[in-house]
Amino acid sequence: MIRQESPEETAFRDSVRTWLEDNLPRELRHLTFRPRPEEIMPWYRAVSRQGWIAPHWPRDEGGMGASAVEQAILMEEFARAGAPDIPSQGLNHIGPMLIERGTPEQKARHLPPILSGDCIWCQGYSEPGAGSDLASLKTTGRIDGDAIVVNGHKIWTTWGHHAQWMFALVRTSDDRKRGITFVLLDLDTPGITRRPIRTIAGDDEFAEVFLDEVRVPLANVVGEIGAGWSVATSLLDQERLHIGSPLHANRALTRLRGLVEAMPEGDRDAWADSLAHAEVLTETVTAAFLDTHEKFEAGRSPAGESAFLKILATEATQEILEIARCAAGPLAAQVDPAWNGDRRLDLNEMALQSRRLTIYAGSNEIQRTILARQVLGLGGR
Amino acid sequence: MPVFDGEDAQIVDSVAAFFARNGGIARVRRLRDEGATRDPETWRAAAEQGWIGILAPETAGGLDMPVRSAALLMQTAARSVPFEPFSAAIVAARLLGRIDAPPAILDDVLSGQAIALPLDGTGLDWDGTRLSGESPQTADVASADWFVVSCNGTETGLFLVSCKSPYKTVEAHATHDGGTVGTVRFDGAEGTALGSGSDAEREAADARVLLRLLRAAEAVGLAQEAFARTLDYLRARSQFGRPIGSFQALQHRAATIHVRLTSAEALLYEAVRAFGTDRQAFAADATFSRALDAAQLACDEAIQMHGAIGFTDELEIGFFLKRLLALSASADERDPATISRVI
Ligand SMILES: Cc1cc2nc3c(=O)[nH]c(=O)nc-3n(C[C@H](O)[C@H](O)[C@H](O)COP(=O)(O)OP(=O)(O)OC[C@H]3O[C@@H](n4cnc5c(N)ncnc54)[C@H](O)[C@@H]3O)c2cc1C
Repeated sequence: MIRQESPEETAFRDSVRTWLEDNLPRELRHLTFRPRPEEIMPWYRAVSRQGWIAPHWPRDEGGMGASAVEQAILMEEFARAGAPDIPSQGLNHIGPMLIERGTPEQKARHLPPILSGDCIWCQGYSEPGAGSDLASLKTTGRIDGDAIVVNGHKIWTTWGHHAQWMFALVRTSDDRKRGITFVLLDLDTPGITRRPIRTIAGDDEFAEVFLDEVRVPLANVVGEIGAGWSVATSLLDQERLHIGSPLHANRALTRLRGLVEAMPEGDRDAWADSLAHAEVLTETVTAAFLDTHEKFEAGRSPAGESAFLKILATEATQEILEIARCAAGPLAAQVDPAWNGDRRLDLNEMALQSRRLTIYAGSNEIQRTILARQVLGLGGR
Repeated sequence: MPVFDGEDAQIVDSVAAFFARNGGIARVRRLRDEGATRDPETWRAAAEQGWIGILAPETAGGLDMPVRSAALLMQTAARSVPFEPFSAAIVAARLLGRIDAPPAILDDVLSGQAIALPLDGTGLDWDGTRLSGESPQTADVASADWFVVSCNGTETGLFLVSCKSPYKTVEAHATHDGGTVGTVRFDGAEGTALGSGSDAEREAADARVLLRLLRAAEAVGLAQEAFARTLDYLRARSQFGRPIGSFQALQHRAATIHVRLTSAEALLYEAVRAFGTDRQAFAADATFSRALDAAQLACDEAIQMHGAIGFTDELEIGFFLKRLLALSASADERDPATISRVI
């Protein structure tokens, strides 16, 4: 971070660094594959016990209530230490949504297990026919007594095959947007079939979920029947703060650094400029993150503006990994990681993984359209 | 812009009003057509606002405002693409004010009677009383009355050299923005020693950082104006029966420019905050490179999205690209690897 830290912030950074050094298991550092739940969840719980699992949640909901700078410090240190990605659908999506829109019962039931890592959530929005045009979704919800009976097919559901609960959008009437309802779905309910889908990076990262006469109690509706679209989109700006955070860029930078450090001394100088460029990109994302965050907190971030962060952070990450690909040279095609002593070197895994960044959470094309129309005042057709 | 207070808003408003009164880009065009490389009236009027001394200590007659204010000043001024070396003059005035320069000279500089500019003395030699050597590719070479030279010669330090010295020659070339660039040659020119040792070194280093910050602010500001005019045009110009801004190909490119400019501006003000910390050199170099890249995209696209009219001299849109050319060339390019060096 370019910004000078206060003594308290520096002390916090030091404590994070030391704690990671002491507590992050060696076998989880600088992973070049996506670990399975049994490998990753003990780490999730350890971070949770330390109190750092939900930096952006308010304190009275069990989060840290951390400032933008503290959040950036956490991301930088976790990235530097090579900490693995943790499942974030609970922490970044349904958790904040329930905090804003959930009933007291829903909050009491669902927030604690998200924080502790006892419940993994997945997001059931996309369908085979409904991607960017999400509002065209067809999974139906038929109200029957005290339940909604759900039928349909969700797809690209991250960790859908590992999760215990899913938050989903279902169609309860024909009205394009006002016919959508937001439900919380226990994945142990009868009528659910899940099938993992393999990604280009070779792992089973997402799944498809078939829903056949699945009964969801009405108590599991968030907001009103038919208010699902507004619930799902109410936190878009906040969500883009996560997706546009400097976390991925920092992780990419760490991987690039690892590659350059492993080069013979004489070769390293030739990479100094590229490394510098990657560092500048990362600092640009951090600066934009802090600025947007602070504007957001001051209530000065106009709707849609945060779309710029998603574009910036994801494309900067891909650019850094492109540099890493060049730094890896011919080895970039190799599936197995390389090693520098006991440090695993990523030759291409994150580069493959990062292709997702510009597709999900509203593709970058969609974000550009949002920016052009909502922020730049360029008309639609 | 980052979260700013009322004083910041005041600067932005008064600078914008000042340049509007002075004719904005039409002034630059007129000077160019007249072949004038100076506009003493505008310079003095700007100095009367206190702007040359915006960073100089109050005891020296300056305004002693935060660096952020100077960045806002230059960001706003740049929307009218003045080619005058305001950024360099602000940095030189600050330097002179901090090292107890002769009061008469400082008065002249702060009141706009004379222009003092910093000069990186790489390749120059100071023997204790006289300066010799050559400084090529010097920006604004024909504008200065005084050079504040930072030098690592026989003696290390800061020196003030008059451009009226008979032992100095200048070879000046016009630049596309209306300014000049060229070579200054000193052949035993007399000067006044202003300081030496680590204090002088630190002052010279700070001056370099500040100059980069202010020029980055200029790049961001002029690009924002070029982009704003482009957006107006995208909304106003119709083809195929609808505004060209409704075409997605243009919308998406406009969005990309917005992303680059917004993030370059955020980085600029982080770098401004970092002035005075041990990250200042990296921060200034980083913001400078991002600002120039973003501005280049915005200025190139500004012309493209205007079509043929954008390619004419008549439309002002080309002035932004031409001013940017000069800013990029002023990048202290004798040392292109600065960025990687500081990491
Ligand atoms: C790794 C990964 C994880 C995911 N996890 C989840 C999850 O957990 N839950 C979930 O619900 N979904 C998830 N998704 C799905 C994701 O939200 C969708 O992929 C996304 O919304 C895009 O939809 P699509 O894939 O159907 O592409 P399409 O909408 O078919 O788009 C294909 C291409 O066309 C472009 N395009 C589409 N419309 C326009 C337009 N109007 N203008 C210009 N270009 C356009 C798109 O940008 C894209 O490049 C995940 C996706 C990935 C890759």
